[in-house]
Amino acid sequence: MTAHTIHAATSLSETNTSGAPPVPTSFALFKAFFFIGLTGFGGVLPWARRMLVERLGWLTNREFAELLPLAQLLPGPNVANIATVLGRQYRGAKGAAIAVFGLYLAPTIITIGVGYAYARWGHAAITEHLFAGLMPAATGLVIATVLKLVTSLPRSVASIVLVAATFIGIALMKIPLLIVLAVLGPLGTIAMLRRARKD
Amino acid sequence: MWSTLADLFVHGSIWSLLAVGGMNATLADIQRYAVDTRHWVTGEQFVTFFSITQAAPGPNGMAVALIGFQAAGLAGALVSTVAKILPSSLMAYFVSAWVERRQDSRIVTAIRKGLAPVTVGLLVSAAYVFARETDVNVSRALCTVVCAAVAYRSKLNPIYLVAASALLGLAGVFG
Repeated sequence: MTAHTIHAATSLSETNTSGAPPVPTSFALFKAFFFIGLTGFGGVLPWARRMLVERLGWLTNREFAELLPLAQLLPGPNVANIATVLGRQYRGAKGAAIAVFGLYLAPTIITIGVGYAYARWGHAAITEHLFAGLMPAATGLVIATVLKLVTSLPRSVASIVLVAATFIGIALMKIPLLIVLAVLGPLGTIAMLRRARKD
Repeated sequence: MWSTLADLFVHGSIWSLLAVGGMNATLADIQRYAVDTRHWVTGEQFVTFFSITQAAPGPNGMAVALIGFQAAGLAGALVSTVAKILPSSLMAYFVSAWVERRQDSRIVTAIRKGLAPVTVGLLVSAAYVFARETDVNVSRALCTVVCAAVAYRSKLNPIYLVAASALLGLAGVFG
C-alpha cells in the first residue's frame, strides 16, 4: 500500500486514479533506462516512448507527450530530464539518481571504448575513410533539425532578430555562450511577455 | 593535469546547464572553447567525435567524453561525462516540480517562447560550424544536402542515413 501512497502523491497519478499500476521498483527504473540508453540509435526519444508507453505501460501516450515540453524547457538531453522527472515521481531522489545512472551507464562505457579505439586506430586509412563518411551524415542531421525548428517558430520580427543575433554572437563573433544566453535569454523573455500583454 | 580536469569539469558543467533545447545547442560553443581556445582537439576531430557518438547509442552530447579523453585520458573522459550529466540533472530534479505546477503561467510560457528562437540560432551556429569543417569537397557537400533533405522530409530512422553515408565513406567516395 505504501507504493500506492507515494504514487498518489505524484502529479502523474491524477490522470489514472482508477486501477493505478504499482509504482516501478528502483531496479525496474534502472533496467528500463539502461535499455533506453543502450538502444537509442539515431535519437533516444522514440525509443524512450516505445519502452515507457508501449512495453512497460508506465505512461499513456498523453502523459508522455505532456512530459516533453517540461523536458525540453530544462537544460540537458530531453531523455535525461525524463529519467530525472520520472525517477523522482516514482522513487524520489534515489529513483532519479538510479534512472539517470542507468541511462548513461552503457553509453559511457561504449564511448570510453571508442576513445581507446580512436587512440589506437584513429589514424588508419580505413577509419579515416569511415569518419569522412560519418561527417556529412552528422552535418546533414543537424541541418535537418534546424529546418524542422525554423518552420515551427512564429513568424515575428522578435523571433527573426533573436535567431540572427544568436547566430552572429556565437558563430561569427565567437562570444561565449554564457554571455550570449545571459543577454538574449532575458531579452527574448521580455519580448514575449510584452507580446502576451498586447494580445 | 589537475587544472585540465578542473577546466573540463567547469566548462562541462556550463554546457550542461546552458543546453537549452538539447545538447546540440552548445556545439558551437564547445567548438570555440575546446578547439580554438584550448586546442584539446582539432576542428576535424571535433566533428568526427560528434559524428561517432551520433552513430553510437545513448543521449546526445557524449562527444564531450571523447574530447575529455583527448585532453586528459580516461580521467578526462569520466570527469567530462559527470560534468555533462550532473548539473542539468540536479537542475531538472529541483526545478521540474516547480515548473510542472507553473507550466501555463505567463512567465514560464514567456521564457519558453523567448528561448525558442535563441535555441534555433544556436543550432544554426552548430550547423554552420559543422558544414565549414565537413564540406571540404563536392561529394561531401552533396551527401550533406541529401541527408538533410531526407531527414527533414521523411520519417526514416536517421541511423540508416548514418549507415549509408558511412558505407560511401568506406568505399572512398569522400576522399
